Amino acid sequence: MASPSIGCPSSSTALPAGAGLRRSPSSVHPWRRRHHQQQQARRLVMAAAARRRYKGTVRREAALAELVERKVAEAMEACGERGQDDEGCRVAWDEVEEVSQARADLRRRIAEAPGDPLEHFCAHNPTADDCAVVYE
Amino acid sequence: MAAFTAHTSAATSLYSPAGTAILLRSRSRAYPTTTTIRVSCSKTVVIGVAADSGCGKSTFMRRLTSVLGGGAEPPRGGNPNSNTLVSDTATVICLDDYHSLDRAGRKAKGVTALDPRAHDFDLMYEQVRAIKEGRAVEKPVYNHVTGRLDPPELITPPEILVIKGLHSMYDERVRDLLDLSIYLDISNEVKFAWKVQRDMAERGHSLESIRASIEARKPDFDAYIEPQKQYADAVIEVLPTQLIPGPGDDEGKVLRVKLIMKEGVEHFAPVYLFDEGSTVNWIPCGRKLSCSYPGIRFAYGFGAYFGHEVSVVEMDGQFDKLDELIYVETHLSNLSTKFYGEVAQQMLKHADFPGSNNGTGLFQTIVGLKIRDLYEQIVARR
Repeated sequence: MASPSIGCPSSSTALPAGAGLRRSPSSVHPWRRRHHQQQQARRLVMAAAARRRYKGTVRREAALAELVERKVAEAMEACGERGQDDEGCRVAWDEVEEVSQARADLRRRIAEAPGDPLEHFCAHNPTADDCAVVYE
Repeated sequence: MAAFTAHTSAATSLYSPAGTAILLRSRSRAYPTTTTIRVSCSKTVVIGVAADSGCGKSTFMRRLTSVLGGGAEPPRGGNPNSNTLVSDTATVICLDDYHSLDRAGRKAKGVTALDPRAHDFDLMYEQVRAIKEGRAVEKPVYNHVTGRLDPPELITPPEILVIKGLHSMYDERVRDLLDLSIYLDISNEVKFAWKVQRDMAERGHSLESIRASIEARKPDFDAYIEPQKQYADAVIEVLPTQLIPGPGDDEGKVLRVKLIMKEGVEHFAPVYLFDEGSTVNWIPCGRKLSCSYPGIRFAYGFGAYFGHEVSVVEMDGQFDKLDELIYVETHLSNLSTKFYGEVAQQMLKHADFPGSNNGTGLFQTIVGLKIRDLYEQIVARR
């Protein structure tokens, strides 16, 4: 996997889930054990709050959101000038529909899949640029 | 590494009569070697699903792949922008991949994606036929983010192939390859309500833009897409409810859904309520079953649809509790379930999918079970 670029604003306590070494309780002094456990819990909470995503998905989401906005603006403009029946107007609104549907599909895939939509691809191509891990 | 080429044109090299495909190894070896991979002799079952964009095709696909078993995922490795879904038994291909004109091309020609001029039906027919006959194909990939055609991906023949898109039943040759065809017919008010739900959270969209988009696409939709419903073996028609009087429910939450099934289709026995071939009006809510407002109403009957004899099962209203669902399932017949309560179980499994509490989810699940039954009948026949 490519080296993680940690986008999370809080610094040293944000660890990827499971990366921290857990020492067996017997090796830690009892009076330090609770403090140690609290720290572990805090670290895990931070890791859980910071969702692990691939750069490719983040990029795609941003691209589609921007595309939707731009295409709607273009369609409004095209139809305003030339009128509703013009084919340019129809094509413009069709493009809006296409990107809106793509955006909705991506949103759904991100919401329902346990992992990232790029999970399969990145399992086979860990060095791809799209597969850089981003925490947000 | 084996140099593998998949031919989409008829006959020759890779497909031998014994039902095996032969891979040619690269020439780096000193001696010629061949490896055989088994390709199924039995033909793939092909199902076609057609509907307008944003009308429930994807949800239907998810329910269908769940009924057929196995998780549906994009093909391993390969293009991350792939529109294809692969599960253990089924492969779902999206017909957008057969665009002959990419986004820029369509804009230049002044043609929408609904227009058949933007699609390569010859390639679609060739490749669907090849898959049906057991040959792998290199299918193009249409990237919805960039709007361009990406390099092709390999599709190996599955047991069940589902083609979903705007034009699944448009071309006559493709229609002849389909073992079962389904059309999702969403009325205008419901379509508007669904698209509002889908798009309102997006920056850039407003009620006006959503309405304008639907209006602008309507001429092409009426001309090219809607006529396909006469060819479908099963139509799921979604209309606004009749249970709430007046302007009532304009959020489109309560729906009236009809399942229109053609009579005489091979391996497809229409669902019926109580007494096949009669007309029934049924309100299950009463003494045995308590429902909350606005309740549930069922109807069953027969008639003609574009000149064909059909049976129609209709549900108006919403399911609130599991009891209602099981009660209704008990009284429907010819559901092709494998055990009592399978429909309810499938609906519960996907309670988070849109339409899980009304007729859209119910009839999509039932059609999924019918497809499974059709597939098993065809396989048993061989």
